[in-house]
Amino acid sequence: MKDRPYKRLPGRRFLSMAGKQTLWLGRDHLLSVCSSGFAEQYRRFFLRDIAAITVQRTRRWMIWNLILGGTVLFIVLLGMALALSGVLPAVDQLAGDLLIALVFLPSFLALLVNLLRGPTCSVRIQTAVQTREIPAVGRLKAADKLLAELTPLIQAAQLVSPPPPPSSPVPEPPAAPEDPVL
Amino acid sequence: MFNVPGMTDCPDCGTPTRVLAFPALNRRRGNTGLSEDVIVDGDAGCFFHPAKKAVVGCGNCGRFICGLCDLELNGQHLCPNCLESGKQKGRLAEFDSQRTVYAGLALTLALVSCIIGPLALITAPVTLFIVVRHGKTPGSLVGGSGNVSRVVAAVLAVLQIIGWIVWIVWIVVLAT
Repeated sequence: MKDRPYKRLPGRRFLSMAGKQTLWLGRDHLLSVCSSGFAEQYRRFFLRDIAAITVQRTRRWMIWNLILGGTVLFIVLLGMALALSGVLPAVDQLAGDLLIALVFLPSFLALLVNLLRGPTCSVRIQTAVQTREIPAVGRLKAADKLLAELTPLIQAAQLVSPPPPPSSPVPEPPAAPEDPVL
Repeated sequence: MFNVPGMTDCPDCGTPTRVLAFPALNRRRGNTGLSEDVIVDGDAGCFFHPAKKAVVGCGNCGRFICGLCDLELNGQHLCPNCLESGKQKGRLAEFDSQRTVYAGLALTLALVSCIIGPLALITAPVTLFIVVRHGKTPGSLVGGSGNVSRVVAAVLAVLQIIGWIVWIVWIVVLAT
């Protein structure tokens, strides 16, 4: 099998207007791809130039949970009210139930998917000349996987040892040599 | 907040944040120092800056170049001239900032005309044209070659054209 120059990284996001966003790892760079099906736009981040990666939690997850949860709750309450009040005749009741189910199911599934995919975040890559958001990575789970995979590669590209763990004490500066005794 | 596992609240806005900082953050901007190396007796000079010391040869044309002119790409060292000519001739895939995926376009056209039949009168020839004209045009940088999509699109387009021809012949026969 032919070797592909790029390996897929965690994260994928569909933005209605911009198309599908994905992130790929090349030999010495990251490739952020925005694909609309017929055209692809690329943005490269060389591993040796990446100065920092920032992951910041966003409220998008909570907002969608509220919207979808509210919709589901409203539909359930509406269905119960219609069923208990008996304002609709039997035939209309069946049509009403079907209509409610048709609205309820997509909302409930969307809520379930949103809950399972976990909290949202925004990921930014900083280089010496720019700071860019990576739209492909929109969930914390994907961001954690991405950082776990990228950190050693970036450190290797910049030829340094990994940063010390936070719990380890800050190393003491070497003691100044004593004045030579003449 | 820097290089710690998990998220900590940003001291400014309070948003949970995690920052991984790398040594490039502390790298000095601007001159790398390499471009400042002045030539001394016995050193080779840069082709573009004769007063500066050459640090590497261009991987394409072999000219000696200084640190300022050295442009590293996928482990290869190139001079600005070779980089520019490679970019213009489209030989350097590393510089593509966008690509049209003709295989995907052809397949979509063929599938759309399968759903909306009358469209095939226009889309089938267009699909065949795209498949033939852009058969060797590089497709997606990250996806497959698109050969399967091209073949499926071409087969569908040919079938649609045959269908139209049969239908027109049938109408003519009925009319006469």
